[in-house]
Amino acid sequence: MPMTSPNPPFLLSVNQLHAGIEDKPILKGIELKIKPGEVHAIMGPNGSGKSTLSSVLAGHPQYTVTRGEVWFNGKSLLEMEPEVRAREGLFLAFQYPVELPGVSMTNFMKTALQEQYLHQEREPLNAKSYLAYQKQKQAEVQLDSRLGSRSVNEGFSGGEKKRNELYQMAMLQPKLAILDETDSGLDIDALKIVAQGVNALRSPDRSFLVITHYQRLLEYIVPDVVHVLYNGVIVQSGDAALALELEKHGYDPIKARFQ
Amino acid sequence: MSLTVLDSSQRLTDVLQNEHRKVMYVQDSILSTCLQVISHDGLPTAKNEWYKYCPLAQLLRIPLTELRQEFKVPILDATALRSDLELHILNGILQIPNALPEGIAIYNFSDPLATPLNLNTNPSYLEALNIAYAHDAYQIHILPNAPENVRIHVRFAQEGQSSTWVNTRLQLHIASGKRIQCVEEFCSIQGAHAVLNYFSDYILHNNAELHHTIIQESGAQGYHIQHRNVILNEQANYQALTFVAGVSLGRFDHVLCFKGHSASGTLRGLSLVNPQECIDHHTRMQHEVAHTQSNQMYKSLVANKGTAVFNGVIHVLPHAQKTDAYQSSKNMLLGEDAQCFTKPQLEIFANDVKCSHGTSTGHMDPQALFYLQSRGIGKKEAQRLLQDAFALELIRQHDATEIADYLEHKLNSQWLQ
Repeated sequence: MPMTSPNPPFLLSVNQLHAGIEDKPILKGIELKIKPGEVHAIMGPNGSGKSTLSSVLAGHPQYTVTRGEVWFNGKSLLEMEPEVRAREGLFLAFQYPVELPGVSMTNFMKTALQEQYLHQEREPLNAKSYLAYQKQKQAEVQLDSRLGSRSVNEGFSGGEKKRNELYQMAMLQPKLAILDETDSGLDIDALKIVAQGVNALRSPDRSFLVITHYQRLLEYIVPDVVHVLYNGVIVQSGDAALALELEKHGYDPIKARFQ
Repeated sequence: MSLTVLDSSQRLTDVLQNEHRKVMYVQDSILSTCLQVISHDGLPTAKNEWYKYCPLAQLLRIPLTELRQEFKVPILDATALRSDLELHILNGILQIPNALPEGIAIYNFSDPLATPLNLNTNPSYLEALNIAYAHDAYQIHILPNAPENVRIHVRFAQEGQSSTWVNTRLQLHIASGKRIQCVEEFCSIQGAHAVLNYFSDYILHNNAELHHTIIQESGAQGYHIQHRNVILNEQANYQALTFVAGVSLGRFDHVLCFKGHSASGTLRGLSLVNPQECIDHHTRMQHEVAHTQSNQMYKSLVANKGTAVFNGVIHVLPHAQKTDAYQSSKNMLLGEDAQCFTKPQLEIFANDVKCSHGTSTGHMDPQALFYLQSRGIGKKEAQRLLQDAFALELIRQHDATEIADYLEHKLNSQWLQ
């Protein structure tokens, strides 16, 4: 197997990805290519495999990949442990961030950052510069500094949890951020704040894969490419206008065409 | 030919009989009761409901050669904990390194000034053994003229080339209104097959307070049987944290008797169970009068092939109305063959009480693990963080920061490596 990607211009290249849970196939041949700096959105009805795709890319042990390959920044992603994927620059913003009672936010992020720096052979941050960095990033995503001193996600509101995901993203500076239904459970104000946070993190060398059920989020985070996922395959791709079309007609025409 | 438990128990008593140091400190009638129990009962086996998961028979398989007449007295390292009164109980014998502070008296039970030992019920086999073959037994009295707050640090150590079976007893009497912080710290000297059969009583007079920390860190070959009996009079308050790490077999009985109104007690326990080890906590909250309150929270981290046991009885007598009792037991299993047996037991004979319990046993949450990994934290480190969080919850509830820090350090250096 070649150790470098045949398609260097792509940050992420998913080829014929098949995956499932136990014996049940969910992803049935995903093709997806993302260049550095691009924002892609994946939309689709419930049960189409959107969240499975994000979990498989992040390396959730619950899912089994049966076929296909994924190249990330020139390396074979599927052979890496979840933590190595993260250190290589992949970030998953969870749909349901996990509460970790007793694990302090500071300890959590400090450990994560240390492991990332070690992996990238960078000089680790000392305590003072870590605190300054933490403060700067909390301000960037407008995370209440009181939340930053609590246990990870414990007792956070839905909006606070999502903002905490953004904060972690800002801290870890990923090359590819996957937002798994980050809009779910947010009211319109919280949604705007989250979208602002994402937009602030957009840069020519950072790509986003935004997974969403509704078009609403895409009004604030304007994608370069929109894909429609249905029954485990990407059935249609287009520009931002595709999202509007879906909003107008719903998923029924898609279902009828690809049933 | 295999020996029956009774035969081997007999062998044990024969050995103890020949032991050089033995103190008689109870009335003849109590002693004869104890001897009867010993000759009749033998060491409790798995057939005994209270010892079902506690393989005490292991103790009989330790080579019980003659106990050495003169133990080598263990030497204790300097401790990080500050105290007003430091006591050493080495191979069951008390040493007092410094002068006693004012208002504190210490007696042997055989001293005429000592309060005689009273047994309300027939002793168990282990208590009978403890009394009949005592190395010694001591009383500490915190008198009315003692300072308001006293910090006591009792350190226990056992040492023996072959096996050493130590029977010792400690009783702490706390005068009204005194606030005592007591740390009991147990360690075995490496390589010693020590068995400690320890009984202790804590008598809290009205308004007395005892903040009790029990720290267990034996060598891997330590065997510990510890029974604590706490008497709470009016408005007395008792708080305990039992931290157990690294004993082959540990059996910890903790009994609280609420005898005065508005008395309250909290028991916390943290067990770190290594492979092949068994740590067994049995508690009993005996609510005898109205308006008393008890709280229990036990946690264990159980490595593969380790066993944790928690059996908690809340017993409310008919007149003990308005009792408020809560109990919780949480266990994290760290391997396919880790075992945990947990049983709440509520015996309520009053009709206006608030008693509840909760228990949970399971493996580490895979979602939590994945969440940490997805941020670049390696699996081992992620597991360490989650165990640390699980254990620290109890340690952080300790009201003395100095002791909490001491325990956190032990947790990190002895367990979470």
